[in-house]
Amino acid sequence: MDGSVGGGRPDANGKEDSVTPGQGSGTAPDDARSTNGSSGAAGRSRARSGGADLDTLGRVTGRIRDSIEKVIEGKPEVAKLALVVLLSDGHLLIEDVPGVGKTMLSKALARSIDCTVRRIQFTPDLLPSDVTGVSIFNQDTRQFEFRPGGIFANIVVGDEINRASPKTQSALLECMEEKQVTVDGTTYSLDSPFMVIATQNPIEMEGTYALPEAQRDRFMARVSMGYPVEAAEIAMLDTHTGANPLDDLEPVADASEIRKLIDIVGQVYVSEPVQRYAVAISTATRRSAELMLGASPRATLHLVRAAKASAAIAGRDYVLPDDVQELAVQVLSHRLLTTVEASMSGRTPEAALRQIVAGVPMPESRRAAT
Amino acid sequence: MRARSDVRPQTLVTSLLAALTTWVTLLAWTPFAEVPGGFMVPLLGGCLLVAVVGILLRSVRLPALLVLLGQVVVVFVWLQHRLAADAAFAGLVPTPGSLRAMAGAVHAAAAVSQSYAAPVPATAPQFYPLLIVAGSAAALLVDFLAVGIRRPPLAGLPLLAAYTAPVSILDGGVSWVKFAAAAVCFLFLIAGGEEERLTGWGRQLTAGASAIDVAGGVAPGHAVWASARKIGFTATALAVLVPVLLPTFSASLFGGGGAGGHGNGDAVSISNPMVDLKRDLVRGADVDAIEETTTDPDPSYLRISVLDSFDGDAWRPAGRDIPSKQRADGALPQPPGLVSGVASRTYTARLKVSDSFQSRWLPTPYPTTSLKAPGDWRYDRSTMDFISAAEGQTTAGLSYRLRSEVLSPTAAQLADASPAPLSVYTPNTALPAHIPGYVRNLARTVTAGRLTRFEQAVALQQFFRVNGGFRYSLERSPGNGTSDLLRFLGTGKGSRVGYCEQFAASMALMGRTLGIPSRVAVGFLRPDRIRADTYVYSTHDLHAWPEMYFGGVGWVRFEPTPAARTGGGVPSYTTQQIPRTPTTQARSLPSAAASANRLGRTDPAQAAAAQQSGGTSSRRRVLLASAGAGLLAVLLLLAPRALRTLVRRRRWAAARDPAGWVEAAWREIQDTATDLSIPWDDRVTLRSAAQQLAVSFGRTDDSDPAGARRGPAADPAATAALHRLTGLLERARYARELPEGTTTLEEVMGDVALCVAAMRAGARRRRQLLATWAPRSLLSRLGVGRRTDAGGPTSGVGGVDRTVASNTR
Repeated sequence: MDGSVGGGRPDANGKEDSVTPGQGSGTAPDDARSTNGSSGAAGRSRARSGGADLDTLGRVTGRIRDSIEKVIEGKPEVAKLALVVLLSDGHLLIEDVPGVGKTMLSKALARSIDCTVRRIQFTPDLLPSDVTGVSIFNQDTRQFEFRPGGIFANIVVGDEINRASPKTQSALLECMEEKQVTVDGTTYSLDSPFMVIATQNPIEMEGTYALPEAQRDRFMARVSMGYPVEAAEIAMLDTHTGANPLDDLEPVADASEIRKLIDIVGQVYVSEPVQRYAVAISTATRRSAELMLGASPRATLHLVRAAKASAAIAGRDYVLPDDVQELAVQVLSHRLLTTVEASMSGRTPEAALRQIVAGVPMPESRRAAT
Repeated sequence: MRARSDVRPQTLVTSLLAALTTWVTLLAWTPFAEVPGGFMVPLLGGCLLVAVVGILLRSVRLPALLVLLGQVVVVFVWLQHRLAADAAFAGLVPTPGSLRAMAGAVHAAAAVSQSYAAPVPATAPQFYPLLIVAGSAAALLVDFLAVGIRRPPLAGLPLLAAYTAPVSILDGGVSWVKFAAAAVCFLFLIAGGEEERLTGWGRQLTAGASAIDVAGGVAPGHAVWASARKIGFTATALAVLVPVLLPTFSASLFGGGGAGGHGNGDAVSISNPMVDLKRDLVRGADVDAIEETTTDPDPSYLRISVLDSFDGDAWRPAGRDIPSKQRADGALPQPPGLVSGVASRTYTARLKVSDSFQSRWLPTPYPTTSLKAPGDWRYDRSTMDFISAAEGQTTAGLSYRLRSEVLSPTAAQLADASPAPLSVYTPNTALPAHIPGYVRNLARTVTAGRLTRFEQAVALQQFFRVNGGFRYSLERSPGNGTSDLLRFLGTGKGSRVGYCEQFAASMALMGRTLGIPSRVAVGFLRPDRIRADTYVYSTHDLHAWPEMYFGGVGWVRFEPTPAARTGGGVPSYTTQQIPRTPTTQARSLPSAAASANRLGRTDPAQAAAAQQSGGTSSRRRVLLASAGAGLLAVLLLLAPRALRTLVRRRRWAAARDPAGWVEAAWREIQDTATDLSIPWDDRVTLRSAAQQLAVSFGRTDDSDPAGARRGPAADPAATAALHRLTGLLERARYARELPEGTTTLEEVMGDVALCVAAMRAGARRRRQLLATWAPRSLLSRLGVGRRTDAGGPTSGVGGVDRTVASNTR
């Protein structure tokens, strides 16, 4: 499936990247395709003795993190979360005030990986076809020809996603979930890895279309950049005033490697108590008096997948409850809605969720109690 | 004080209410005398006098103490006028002579009260002044407390004292009507006082009355009185009803209830038969009580009741068990202990009780085989006496038919009697704890050399009738308590003089000390014959005698009272010769002799030796017991530590694979934390738990003086060991598997030892000791110490509803 659809994707479009001008990445997708099948099989076969794979994963992720942290100073946890989302085949929503480096983060991540990257600036007049692509009539061949839209890339940076019309948003979100595009009755599959990094500005909400809950649910995690600490900001002044640090960024991994890593993450073992723990957290959000809308089963799925990625990054081939606990707030909080009473008293979903997570007992203790 | 003593209508009401309460409470005294009017009427006057004088004196706003003084003076003058008017000047002003006369009257009354049992007969009116003086004093006190210093609840104390007197002196208490009346009066007195106190805070504003309406004063009382009525009546009703509704039936409850109300002088009322016995015996007039028409040519011993419980103060009827199926309206069960083989004759009789003989107990011969009596009379299976089961029902005027037997057991039968069953033996040989040794010794001396229980009983009877030098006399004051009997049995001045009560009670008591089931029966001795087959029992025939139990025959009558009273008659079986096998044979068959009812005789020397050895062995037993107790204490002290070690050993032994070792290690660390009272939350993840635990690590070696005393840095080796353990445990719990060879048991145990040492080092000395000797983890193993949290947001029934509700919102 990968091969057949990927063949229809013109490499030239990959170079029409608004972020990486003049980068010699034209052959990278080909390499990725050629190694894809073998690496996946190898990953599965070595699942039991995953030591070497985990070492590879640790090395690659370490390189990517270092690379990102060259640009984004003093935010290792954000960088890690971006990696976790990448490795667990999810999408990331970055939400913060302007100017804290949302776009910089996504660009840094994209630049660190040698793969196709596109950036779509969402505006109110952006059309769905701008995202998915459009069939145009070729006068030479007298045939309709599909011109892929901005979504056809390994990493898609959707900037200010809440400024686009709901119609456009939903076009993007369909692609995110299905990993395919359907135009004029033809379905085009998207290349793997496929990751959407959307940014959103929570203030300046005038003239924007806030993402509805159903669409926010498709993002695996939401992260807030937050302001840097003073030292990081001073360091940032040093590096960023002279030259654009992104220019110095060299790719440290390529798409095929990332695909391999995603495969390795898929092999991480989730024990039954950990599964129960994840479900217990989701159930607790559904029963909380403070929350109107709890976590969906997809949220639980995302939580466990993210936990697997996190465990793999930590060099383990098994998930700990600690992984789930750590990621719960980032993975779940953007899907929750507080009740009117709770929000009136200033409770944010994050705060409510933190309390819930602290209250859910470990699966072992419950087993011991019964 | 002066400001508070202004007179209001309420004071008037309260004063009169106090007087009324006092008098109603004093009604409880009526059973003291046969003609209670002799003192109750003057007492009513006294109470009113106190109230009126109080009202008058308070109206001129005298201080409370002065009012009391005035009342005392007036009451004293009044008493003196009553008691010694002749000696007083103008009948009112006291003179030394009148004072002497007053004191004499009170002394005389006290003397009368000493010599008569209640009720004091009408022939002794000297008795009344005592009660009048006491009652007046009570009235003065109540008036002072309730009205003078306005503390009505305190007035309960003198009232209670007045009420206690008859309850403690008269056996059987006071009628519930009197109790309820007194209680209601007292409660209203309190309510009045409280209302007065409440009005001191200002008056209640009601819709009808304006705030300026000064003339009112009734309005605030309404609420108070409504609640007072409710509370008062409810409390009183409960106090009266609850004891009645309780399932136990005490013989004295109803018996006591009816006793007080009969004031007419001719009545012979029997509530506690023994108490009434003496009074009826000494009473001048011989009142006919029962007329019996019988086929028995020689009727005697008509039993009223059985006193089968001795508590040291008196012989009393024990509680009777009288379910409704034990009604006396037909055939009666076989008397306890009687088996066929005892010669008997059956007679029928019709008994007619005179109107003046009132008893809660039905006089019957023993044993009665069938009885038909109108009304609800019930019998107790063990005593076979008949008690009224309906309130207010007495024998007065009753007429009933019965069939009875006269048993003629032989002395041989009695001597060969089988031992008493435990159900008879235990209650009927029960003695209070402090029976003087003199009584026991006397009983043993008197019966020395007798081989059987029956012979012992005969010896006792003989002792009382002949050998002991007892003299029958009604001069003696009543009483059958331990001290009375000790005096009766003693050898000093005034001893060995008494009447049937002491004779019967003493013999029963001595029988009990010898282990013979004994009790005292009260009834009539021997009737006078008035026609061919008609006999009359009169009050002078009242009598008491002991009954003793011999298996096979049952309860057998004895007659210890000397012939001067009983006319020489003793039961024939007590005079018969007991046919006896030669003693040598009895000696050679000690087992046979010891069985049946014979006493196992042992050689005196042997017995003494046995006693001696018993003495030493008992000393040795004390030593052994204390040694055992000490050993037990030591074991108990050691037990927790040993148990804890055992738990540890079994834990390690039960673990078979690396995963088991690691889990065991973790539980051991957890238990150690519990022992040392280190906070432990098992709801957090393993890493958090380990992190929390490492905080309480202490330093185990002092080689580096600069190092941290507590915390993860205090003992890096232990912290590293803890992390190793946590990592292993995580793999054991969450990874696919923990392969063999990942670790060894020695490594795990070594890590645990490191952690435990660090934990102990971080704890205080006291905690360490406690952890060693009284490990708390043992408790949590029992499920005591540790909470088992079943809650948490994930469980709970309401969750689904809540989710639905929040979704539909």
